[in-house]
Amino acid sequence: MREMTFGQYYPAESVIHKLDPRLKIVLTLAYIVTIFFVNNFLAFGVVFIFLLSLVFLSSVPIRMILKAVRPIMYIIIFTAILNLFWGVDGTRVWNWWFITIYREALFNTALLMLRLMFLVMGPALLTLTTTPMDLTDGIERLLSPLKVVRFPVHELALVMSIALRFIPILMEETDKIIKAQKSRGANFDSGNIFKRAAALIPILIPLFVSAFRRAEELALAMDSRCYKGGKGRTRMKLLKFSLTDFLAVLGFIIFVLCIVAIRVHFMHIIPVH
Amino acid sequence: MSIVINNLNYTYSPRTNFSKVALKDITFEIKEGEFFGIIGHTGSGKSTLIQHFNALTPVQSGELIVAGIDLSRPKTSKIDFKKLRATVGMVFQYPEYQLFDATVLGDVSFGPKNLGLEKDEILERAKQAIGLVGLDYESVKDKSPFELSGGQKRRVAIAGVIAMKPQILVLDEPTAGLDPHGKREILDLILTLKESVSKTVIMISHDMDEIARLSDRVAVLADGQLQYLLPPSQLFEKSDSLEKMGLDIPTIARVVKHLNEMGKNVPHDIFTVEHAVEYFSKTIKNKNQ
Repeated sequence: MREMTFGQYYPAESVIHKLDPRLKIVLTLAYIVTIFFVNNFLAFGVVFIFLLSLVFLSSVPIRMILKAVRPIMYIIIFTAILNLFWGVDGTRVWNWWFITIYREALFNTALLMLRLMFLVMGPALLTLTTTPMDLTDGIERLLSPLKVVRFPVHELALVMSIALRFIPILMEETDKIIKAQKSRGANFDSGNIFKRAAALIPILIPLFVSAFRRAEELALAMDSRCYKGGKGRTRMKLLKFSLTDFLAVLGFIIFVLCIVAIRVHFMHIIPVH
Repeated sequence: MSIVINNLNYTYSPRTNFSKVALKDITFEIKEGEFFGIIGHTGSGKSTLIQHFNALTPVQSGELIVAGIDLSRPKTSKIDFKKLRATVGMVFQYPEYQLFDATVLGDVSFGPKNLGLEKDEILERAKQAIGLVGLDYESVKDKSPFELSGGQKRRVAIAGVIAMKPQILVLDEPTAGLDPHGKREILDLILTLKESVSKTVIMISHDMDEIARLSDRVAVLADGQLQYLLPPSQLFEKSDSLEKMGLDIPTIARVVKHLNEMGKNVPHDIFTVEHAVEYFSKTIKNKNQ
């Protein structure tokens, strides 16, 4: 369990890591929207090259990006299979008993699979190159206009960052408790579902007790350092746009333009759905 | 009931770039009936090592035989975990944080229950264990472990391990976070347990006075490697190299060292208060004669 790291931040010194987290979040959202406009293989080629060059720039191993796809692989395959039998007209390519597969459906399925995969890989790159702290910081700043309508942006961000900060600590704690109970002969891997659920009690109770204890200690520590919420609070780390941030925006705009151009000009060459 | 360790290696997160070597080619043997101390800087691999002893950490490479059970080949022969965990009792750091049951009796019974013992036997063992750790059975059995004091909680947690009657008792910093009085009580308790339940005791500690007083032999780990394996009398002569590993020597050993630096001729193998008192009163007597 100790081998599990939460989030999936991949520590490295790269241009992508150093980008402003706000920008990274916004660009990732824009990337997701762009992916929905991609409807042919040529454009996916552009997306592929774009993503590949980003991965190369970020010095994150490609293996790590591909790992992000694995959990949703079943969803992708399931949707793909459904989609494969969906098309009801066009050119038949394969026929067996009552199953007919059309050329168009085949293309659509391939596009769908590519789209889902690229949809996951973009945000994966974001979380791989941005620390959870930077992410919450970025989200807080992006949401800060909501302060006008009295939305507790700072408090929300604080809750988020504390939660993120405590996940590894609680994981380690859980690991310790599991080991302690295991060494007292506890068995978590056998028995029916009720037995297994009951076996969790000796883990969950100590875990809750310790979580509350830690929460209380943290509250006291914050109180003793005069923490009183977001009002009038200044920041140690100021987010500033740098030249690389502008270059990133530029690069992204070129990417989007390519996608748009392909969509406008090459629609007739490659099947559209 | 010995523990044989042969070329044991362990790496956390192998084959990633955060991989960390925790144990490197550890080879030694812990004999039956021994009080075995393990010392080392934080992160030296002590905890990883002891977690191997009851298969909480699987053997990656090397050989490990605990009380006749071979833990190094889990694939060829399935390890009998129940038997192993009944043989090796493990008291973790701050064991009071693993208490969970509504009553002290329930918590102490958890281990024996998991062993699948008869009801009477479970109750008998729990009763005995609570008594052994110096708590009054009748007055604490129905109390919630959470309403006890810190020291009492730790005793209950230790009772929970003792109730399984382990022949080998492993303790990871059993006195951490206790006041001097509580420390002494826990150490005395461990000695009592060694007499009555667990013949072999393995203890990790940062307190060199404890280690000096109790251990027959001491293993020193640094960066996952076994640096020394010596009886305390020989180990604490190497104060310089111990200091280099970020380790202390017992208070008395330090006093003796100072005295020798001042030109007095005091034997090096004095490192406990009892021994020092004996030696100095003898020398003073000899002088007066």
